[in-house]
Amino acid sequence: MGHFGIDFGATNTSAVEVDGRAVQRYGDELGKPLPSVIILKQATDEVIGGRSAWNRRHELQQLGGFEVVGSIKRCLESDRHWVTAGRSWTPRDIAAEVLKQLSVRAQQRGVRAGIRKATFSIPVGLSARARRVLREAAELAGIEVSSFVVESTAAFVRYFTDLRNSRHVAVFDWGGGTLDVSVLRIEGLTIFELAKEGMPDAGDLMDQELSLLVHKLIMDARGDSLAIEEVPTIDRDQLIIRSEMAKCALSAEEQVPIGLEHYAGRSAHVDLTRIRAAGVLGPFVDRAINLLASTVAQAGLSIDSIDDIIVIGGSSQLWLLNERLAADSRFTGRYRLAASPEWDVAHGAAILEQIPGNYELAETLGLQLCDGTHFELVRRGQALDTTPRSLSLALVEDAREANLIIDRLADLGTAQTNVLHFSVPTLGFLDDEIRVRHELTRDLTFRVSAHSRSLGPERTEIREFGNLRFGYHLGNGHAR
Amino acid sequence: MRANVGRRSNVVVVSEERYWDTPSFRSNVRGRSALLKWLQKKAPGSRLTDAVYNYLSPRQRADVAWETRCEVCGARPEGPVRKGQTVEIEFRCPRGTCSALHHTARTLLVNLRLLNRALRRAGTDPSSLAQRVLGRGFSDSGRRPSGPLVPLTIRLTKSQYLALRHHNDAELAAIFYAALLSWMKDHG
Repeated sequence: MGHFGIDFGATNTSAVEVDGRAVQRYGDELGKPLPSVIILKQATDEVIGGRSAWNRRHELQQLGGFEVVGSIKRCLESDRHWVTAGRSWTPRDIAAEVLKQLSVRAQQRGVRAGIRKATFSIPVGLSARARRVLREAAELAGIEVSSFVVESTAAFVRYFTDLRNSRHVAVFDWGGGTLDVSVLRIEGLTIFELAKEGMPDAGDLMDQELSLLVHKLIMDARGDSLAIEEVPTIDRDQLIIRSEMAKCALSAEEQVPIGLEHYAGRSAHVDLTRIRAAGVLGPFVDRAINLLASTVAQAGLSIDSIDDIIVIGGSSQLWLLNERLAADSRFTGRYRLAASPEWDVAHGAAILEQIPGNYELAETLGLQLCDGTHFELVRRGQALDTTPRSLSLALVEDAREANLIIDRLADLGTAQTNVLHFSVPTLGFLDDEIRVRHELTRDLTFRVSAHSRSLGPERTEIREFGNLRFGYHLGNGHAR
Repeated sequence: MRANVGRRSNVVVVSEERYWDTPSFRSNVRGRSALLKWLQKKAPGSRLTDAVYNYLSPRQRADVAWETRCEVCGARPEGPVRKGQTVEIEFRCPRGTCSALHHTARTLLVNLRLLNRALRRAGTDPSSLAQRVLGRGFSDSGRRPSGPLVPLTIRLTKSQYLALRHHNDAELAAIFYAALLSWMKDHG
């Protein structure tokens, strides 16, 4: 059995298996990534997933008696529940169903035991809680999460062999939901994350705004002036879905027809043109390009020093993005569209899965002390050691709170930045000590907890930081 | 508009039972209230002025002094203001009723020849020279100026005044002498 990488996406989920030089992709029965939609039949607890769920989601939603969960990734850390006759479903349960479907697909394609272990790609800034839910969901599906990797970094790993002569690379990964940007430095066979930034709702907000435009077009065509809030929720959901489909279709066509059988009591048919859509999509595209530029700046680099920009993800195929990147002299000749944008992230994760323990921390975090110096908590180059460590602190002023400030220290050309700050209640100067415990978790987060010795552990403050930067060692034989 | 407030760390890492008696802890204690508590623990029963002088750094002595309340409005009108890498004590009366006294004069004895050489090198007046010399930091070397001595009146900033207020004129002369020699050495 080979090594698996899984890209658990907002819209689609895919798995790639790398076994030596052989690469297998696992998605739906049509050879595309598996839609992340899950439908629950309320009367029987039956679960419908994959392409058939995607194809029937509108029909079954209209029919009633079904719970349609369009994108579980967006609500992994929510407290939502979906209730059917025999049970209540949490986000973890729904995510597990998506992963089970994927594992079953792999079984059907000859992986006898299904997927048992994989490296999962995650968006920048996915919260610690969401990571835990995803890990638990994978366990429910019989898949052990060996590690997480940021989606945009995984995408680069896929292209590592082609870009080994580059020094600095930016990856612009704009999927259906999130937009992630990684800026990476290549040193021999090692890649270092210099900066990672994301916009969690970039794709969703764009679709919502586009649906408002389509609503206006429908109302103009009808000569009506209904506010969108007055339209039934189910019709509005349909409108968003159709608007998103039209947005994708505009990448190939100048004009796309949108048809809805039921919209505010009647059928609706309008044409969406690129020119009209550009008015809505333009600001999103500009913000996305600005995020790319600001992430490069955060890495302590100028765009001129970026050798290649890899553009990947479903939304990156938007015609307007390509137009604006092509017209922007800063990016001319630097960007390249990914060859297999729907699979590259999972492919990169699978490559990393081949080399266990291949990563190290690429930054130093320090506790800021009262004199402005830092006490190192974790150090650049440190392997992922999840052993908790402790230290004691004392106040230097007569206060009732200890201010704990944790900074990312300046390194690799990047400036010092604050990553966590919080206060811990104490009894005061000379009367108390603060016990601090910190650890790198297997979910690739840095967790710190602190409490006053006098007030006790029940007054513990806990904070977690997930946007850690790592360095990945890619052996010659593995970097395919 | 830029924010002009920020969170400041108020902790040190400690590893000993009597951490409060270690030089690294002592040198970081700040604020009048904390310093008085610390002195009470370190030297219980001793006279405050003696304890302040014996155990605290010039900055900490200033800390103890500046938090004395204003007799007019009851506020603490002076406080530390960070300016780049340095902290200066500035007037910041909340009522706007009390006026600021930016500099305080002190008179000290200084070697005439050394003063003239320094003035030529600095190309400035005695008061500005004193600001430059003391602005680099100072300590009491115990070495008194000798030779032809002349009285020199210098203007001290709030920080300098508060840090030096416990020193008598002879000690102040020694501090200035050491600071002036150090400045001359660094300026050729």
